[in-house]
Amino acid sequence: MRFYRQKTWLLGLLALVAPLPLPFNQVVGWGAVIAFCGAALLFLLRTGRGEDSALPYWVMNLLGLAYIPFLVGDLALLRSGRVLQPLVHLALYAMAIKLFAIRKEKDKWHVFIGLFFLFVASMATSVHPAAIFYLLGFATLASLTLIRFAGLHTVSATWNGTQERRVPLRRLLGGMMVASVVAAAPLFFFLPRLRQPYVYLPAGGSGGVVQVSGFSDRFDLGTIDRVRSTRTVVFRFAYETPPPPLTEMRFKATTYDLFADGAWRRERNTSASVPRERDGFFHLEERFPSSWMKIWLRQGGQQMVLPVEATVVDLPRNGVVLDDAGEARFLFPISGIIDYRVGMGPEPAVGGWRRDRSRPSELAVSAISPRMVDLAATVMGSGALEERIRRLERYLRSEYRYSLDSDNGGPNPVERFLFDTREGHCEYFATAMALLLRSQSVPTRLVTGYLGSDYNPLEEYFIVRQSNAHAWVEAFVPFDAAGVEEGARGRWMIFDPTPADARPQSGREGLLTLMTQAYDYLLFRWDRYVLTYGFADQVDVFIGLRDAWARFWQAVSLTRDEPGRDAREPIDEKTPAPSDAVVQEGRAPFSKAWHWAPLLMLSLAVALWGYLRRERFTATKAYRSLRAEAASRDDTLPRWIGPLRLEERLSDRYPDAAPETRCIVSHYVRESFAGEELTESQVEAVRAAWGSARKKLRKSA
Amino acid sequence: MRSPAVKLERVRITKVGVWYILITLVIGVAGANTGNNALYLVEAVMLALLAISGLLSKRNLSRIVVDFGGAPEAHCGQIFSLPIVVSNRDRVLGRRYVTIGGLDEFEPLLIAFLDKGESVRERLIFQVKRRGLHRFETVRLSSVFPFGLFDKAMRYPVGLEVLVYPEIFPASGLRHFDPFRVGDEPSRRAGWSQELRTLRAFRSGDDPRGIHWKRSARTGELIFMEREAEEGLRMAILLDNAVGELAEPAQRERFERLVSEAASAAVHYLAEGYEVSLATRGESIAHAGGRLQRQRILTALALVEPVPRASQPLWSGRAAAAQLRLGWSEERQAS
Repeated sequence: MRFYRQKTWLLGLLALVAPLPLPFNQVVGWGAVIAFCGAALLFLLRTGRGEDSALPYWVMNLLGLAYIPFLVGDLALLRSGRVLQPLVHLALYAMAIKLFAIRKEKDKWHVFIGLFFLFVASMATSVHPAAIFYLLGFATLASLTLIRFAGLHTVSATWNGTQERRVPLRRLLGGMMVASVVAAAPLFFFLPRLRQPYVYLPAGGSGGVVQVSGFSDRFDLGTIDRVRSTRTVVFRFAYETPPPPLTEMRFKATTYDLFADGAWRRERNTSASVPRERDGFFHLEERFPSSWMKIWLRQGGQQMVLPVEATVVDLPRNGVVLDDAGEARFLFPISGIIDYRVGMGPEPAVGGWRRDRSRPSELAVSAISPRMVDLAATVMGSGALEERIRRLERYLRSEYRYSLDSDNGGPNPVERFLFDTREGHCEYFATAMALLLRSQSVPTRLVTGYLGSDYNPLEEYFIVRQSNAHAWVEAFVPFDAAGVEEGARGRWMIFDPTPADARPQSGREGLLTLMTQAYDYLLFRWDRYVLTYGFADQVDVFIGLRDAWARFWQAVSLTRDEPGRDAREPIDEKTPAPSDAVVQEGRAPFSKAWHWAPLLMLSLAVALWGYLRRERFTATKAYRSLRAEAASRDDTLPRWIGPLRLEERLSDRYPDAAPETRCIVSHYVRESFAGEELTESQVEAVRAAWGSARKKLRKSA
Repeated sequence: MRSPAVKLERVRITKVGVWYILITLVIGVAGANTGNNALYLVEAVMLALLAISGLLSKRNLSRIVVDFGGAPEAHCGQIFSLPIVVSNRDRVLGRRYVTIGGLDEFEPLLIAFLDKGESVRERLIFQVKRRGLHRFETVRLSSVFPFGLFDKAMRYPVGLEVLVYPEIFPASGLRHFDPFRVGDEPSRRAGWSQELRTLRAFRSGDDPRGIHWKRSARTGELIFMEREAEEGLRMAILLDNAVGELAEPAQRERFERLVSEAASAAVHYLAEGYEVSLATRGESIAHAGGRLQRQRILTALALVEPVPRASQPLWSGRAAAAQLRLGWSEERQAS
């Protein structure tokens, strides 16, 4: 194949691959990419047929003018903030024309660079893990193109008309790609991050972080319906210690106290920053945690998600803001994935600054009709307040049906739910219970969050998705249960009126689930360690490495001290544990010795490497050294002087060194010209002769 | 033969390399500025490929052994090929797109592919413009493999000595060259031809088969038949190199022309079956024929250098043979 055809063939393949992810990323439509790929295919067909005629300049100019209407239309998109689409459209059009206008070598490079920038646009807007395959595929093809370009350039520069020998590249290219992945992985993790991670928002034009919590300060009765329709992952969590018994995996996100016009909202912001205690944790409750979990929250903003049993939060590089209703937020906005540890008590706790009091807004009775008051009074009956509330909870669970397709529209959707349709989703159940309780003067608030999760056995963590979104009720129950008054002391309790079989489910099994779990595992890794990997993670990596190093030396030292026993542990009950200083002092000699061990091993490795790489002494080396020595003392020594002439000349000039010179030259001639392999004894003789000759030459000087 | 350690003589970034580094920088800045980790991925792969390119290009020039065959008969100004064997001593990787050259005298030779452990026989085309003993200490191995980002070259020590003979002109191109036959006189040396040279008394060491039995019987003493040698045509070439110091290039050119004429004449007469001798100031080669004599004369002429002018004329020592005199004044004289 001619050089020109080889190069254009590779460029055509690159053109075919470069824009493929763009429509998936919603940067441009499928039409534009299909048109471009069609042009690339046509170009490949022409190349295959051996046609290499280029478009005339006047045709290129006409095609350029023809694009102006499209450009004007595209520029209108700039107003909506979609900068990338007009640029990519222009690039695709320009590249399609340029493919057919390759005349010179530099045109090929222009095409190559243009296609590379299409590739960069595709990569920069990719958020799916499949981007890694695209990256490797394009890198392989681009590497092959560069290799062939370089090779053909060399061949054409030295070409003498003979047939070029076939140069196999397949295995080499495979090896190079594997090596590049191995080398690129640490580079990716250690390249300095200066800003917060940026994740392209598909079809967003200018990009932004992903917002997935689904909840805001205003919450209408269709919010969860919308949120639960997706399986977007909100957060993942894993238990570090055995979880509390009978835990429901209920996570609290937001609380609301005012209901009007079919929507819940918050009365006012009554939040305050939680101080970090001496132990480095943020204490939400006075109880000490009995178990711990770690949460990886995919978030953009300040919304925090906590299990209802949470008492302590371990959040190294941020703060916690808690409001009086127990809703927690991050002190500083975050983007991407943040991880934090949560300590939990044995039972649900409704946290917040006002955990033993209620507020008037939590008794607001708007949208409560007389029918609702009657219903509440009838169902709740008389007795202890907690028991009355349980009766209402059971009533709603048993008498109403869960449905995501209910038609509860109208001026009072809750009344319609209670008396007409008698079906709805968790928001209707929770809202109805909250309002019915308020009709009976029980302070309540609506809580949104997540219930249940999917267990991923691949890494033993739980996945909470948007489909796990849920709403329930917190009701204030006074300690004496005699009546509810403003300022009376009591406690907030959790009630969930949604039928149990209609709550978000977990624990599905089967091959599909396993595949989903595997896919989620991959997604989690991709999200956590690629898309949202940032400076804080780099700090964590360095801290982790430092700690691992410290642990390693500690382990080594302890092992040297006494195998199988921690030096910090007390020997028996009467003997106190040794202090850090004592432990340090006791193991110091071992530690110092062991610290020298890597240095010693490194020195040995360097010495071994030097020994293996040493250059063997040969007669040729001795002859070259002799020539150099002679030339340094004799400016008139011609560069082209041959060995025999050199011997004569040195014998005349340095008669004392004549035998040594003769020995070196004769062995050099045998080794270099006759191709004779000298024996060890001969090499030793030459070495001795060279040492002696050098001394004599220097002495004569 | 042990492959020499790679000592890079030159690492030059090519235009493609400059562009590659610039684009890598731009993507790095874009990644750092936006925090887009996808750009960091691209940056990491580009940096990795850059590093791999650097390592691979160095490896591509290492563990290559170039063995030069025997030096051919090389004449000044003429193109000759030198047989070489290029071997790849690497047991893991092949070598690709390696160019051997780097000297003005050599035409670059491309080794497109050399598999691991493979050896190929090639011919290095070269042309030397000056006669004499030439020493080529090194040749240059260079390559832009793999991506053409770097042009790396290393000096490969060869220590090759080539004796370049004077330029040989075609017979018709020689000035005043009109082959003539002079000195077609009988040889006075004894030999083994059919012609009888003389009869003499048999001496110890003579071949008994040469005893003339009839004459011996007649005289009563052993008589030996001495035969003539079979040689006949002789030419003495006298090159007077006492031309003094040659300061001007034109003078040097003129002297080189004289040497080339002497060499051309010697080659011509030897090819014609003559016994040729050569005499210069300080060098004298007796009459003889054949390939060895040709090599002797050409070697002497390859190394002949101008010497100070002398008043005494150059004397061949054998007035009987035909002579071709070449000197500063006479240029060429035949007698």
